[in-house]
Amino acid sequence: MKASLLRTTLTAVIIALGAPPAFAQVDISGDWASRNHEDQPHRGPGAELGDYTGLPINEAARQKATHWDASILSLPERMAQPHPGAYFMRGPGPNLRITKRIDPVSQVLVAYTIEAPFGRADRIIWMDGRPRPSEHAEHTWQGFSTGKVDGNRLTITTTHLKYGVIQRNGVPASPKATLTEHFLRHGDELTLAVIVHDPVYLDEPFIRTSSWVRSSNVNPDQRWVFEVVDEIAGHRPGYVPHYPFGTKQEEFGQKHGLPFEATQGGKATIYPEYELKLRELLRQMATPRPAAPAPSR
Amino acid sequence: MSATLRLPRRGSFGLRLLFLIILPGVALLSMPVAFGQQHVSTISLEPGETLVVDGIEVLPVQGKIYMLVGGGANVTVQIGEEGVVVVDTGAAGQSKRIITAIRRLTNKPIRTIVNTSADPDHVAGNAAFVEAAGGPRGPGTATPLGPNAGAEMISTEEAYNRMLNGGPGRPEMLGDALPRSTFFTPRKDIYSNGEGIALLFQPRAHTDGDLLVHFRGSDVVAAGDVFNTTSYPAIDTAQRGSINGVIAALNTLIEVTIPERNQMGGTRVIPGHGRISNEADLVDYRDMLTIIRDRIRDAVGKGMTLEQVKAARFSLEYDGLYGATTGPWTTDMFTEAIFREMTALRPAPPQRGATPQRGTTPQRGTTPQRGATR
Ligand SMILES: [Zn+2]
Repeated sequence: MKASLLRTTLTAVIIALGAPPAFAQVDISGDWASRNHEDQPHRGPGAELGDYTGLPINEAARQKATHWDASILSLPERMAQPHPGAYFMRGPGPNLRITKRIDPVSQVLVAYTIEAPFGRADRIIWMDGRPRPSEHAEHTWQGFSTGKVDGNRLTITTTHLKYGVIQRNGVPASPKATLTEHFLRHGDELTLAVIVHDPVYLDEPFIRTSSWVRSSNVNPDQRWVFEVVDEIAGHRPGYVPHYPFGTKQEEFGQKHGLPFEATQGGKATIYPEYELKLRELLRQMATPRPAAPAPSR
Repeated sequence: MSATLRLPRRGSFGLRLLFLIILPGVALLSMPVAFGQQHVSTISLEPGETLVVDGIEVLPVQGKIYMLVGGGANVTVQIGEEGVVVVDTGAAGQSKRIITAIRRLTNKPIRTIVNTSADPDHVAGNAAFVEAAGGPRGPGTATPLGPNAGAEMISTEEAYNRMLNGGPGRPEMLGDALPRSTFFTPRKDIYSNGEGIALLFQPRAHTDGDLLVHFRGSDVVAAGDVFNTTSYPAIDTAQRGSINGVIAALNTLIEVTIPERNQMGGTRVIPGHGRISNEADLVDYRDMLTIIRDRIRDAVGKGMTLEQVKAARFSLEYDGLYGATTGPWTTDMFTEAIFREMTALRPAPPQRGATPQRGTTPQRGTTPQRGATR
């Protein structure tokens, strides 16, 4: 009995010593079905015009978004564009197919590929420590990404992004924006935290999380080429729709009973303390203003 | 080109990736010695890779085309069996470094030089490039190597005149620094290294002598200064530049370029300054300029003064990408150039007791684009 226990213990120790490192190294490969309950109105239908709530945007971003006209996406030279890197992991879906690319000789992980964001600007996350391209290299919708595993966390750094958006109502992300992303895996649950840093349009980083569950029955977006057609006849070449300067997008606030100021975003609006300010603004809105005195003549 | 292993361009993404894995890093292959010149081993680069030679960055663009950065304006180079075509020759004092960088790519002679405008940061290297080519080629020339050796240099007639006469910030140019082949037609076609090259004249864009250079086989356009990813276009009114002309040139570029799919890849564009681009980047730039132009035109229509227009910050959302408060081309100068042009194009209001004045007639080559404001 005693000898048998000792033998078992010794065997266990020997197996443990011979085994690969026991600490978890996250592996994000597989097919993942998106869970869109988080931020659903912004991800499914898309944010309404003039809704910048909770966005740490600056005045330049606000001016860009306010004059953005969705008709611009009907231009032949824009209608096929994919979702850009600062937004695509959080778009409607996406269901993801993440594949490992292994060096066939050394069996070392070279890269992950992530397929199926809207418009199929599929991603490569280089895991082989390669240097970033020159600042004069092309910027793409998916950008240039490198990854580093830290225990249960895969951290991705992305640069070389095209001019994009952080929200589908025209709130911009500049080509100078960079992304820090953290993939966190808990069994069959995958969480991604995307942090957008943008010196041109953000006063503080823009942070959102999204979730997926592992699935053997996932249906990634298989559309590869979007056809370009003349959606609206009669526009002369060079037509660029945009709202006239000075436009105020007030409809969102009116519809939801929000003061205009609270719809306009800014770094203060991302913190819980903003609720106090919002209550104050709502109180002011509820109080009828004294009638303005008649102009004297 | 040397017999470099190439990534399969079509075919599955996985296959391409596999090639990248099997062929890590830069594929270094030396080239045979050309024409008994001193042997310099040359190097072949793949898209995405960068070579730095004496501070000049060499970026392979697509097909036979490379972009050289760091010696003034971007220099575009086409390399093939027949020799080298160079679009723009960089700023003063940079030629040696740029030519050294080209020599790392090929030992073939420089055969053709194209100037996209008369700006010194684009043409100051002209004479040095002609010298490196063994002399000028063209009417009345005979290099020691024979009448068919040397480099032919091409520009628009307007750019030639600007180089010859000089101007503010532009010294007069002489001798071999001047193009021997000029044209004033909308287009001039040449052919080199197995591909057609269309030189597309853009009258009154950033100057009155701008060229777009379209390498049709490699599918790359060198855009000169009508497209910069790092600044607003310098509308050089001393050289009859025009915001409407720049926008028209960008619309021409958008017609010329075709993305591979979904606004990705396809025709690549080398800007006068900045990074390698494709149609999607051009569209961003065209939209930006059209929107700013429309705003200033509307403001002029409402009678706003230049000071009011500057204070309104019509370009605020783009200033972080293209604006400047110091240097040779500030946001205020850009705003003022558009303001003056919109003011000149605005029909003069009829005056009481005077003969109604005729509106400003658009000058040759100008495409007055009416706004797209909705
Ligand atoms: Zn320039």
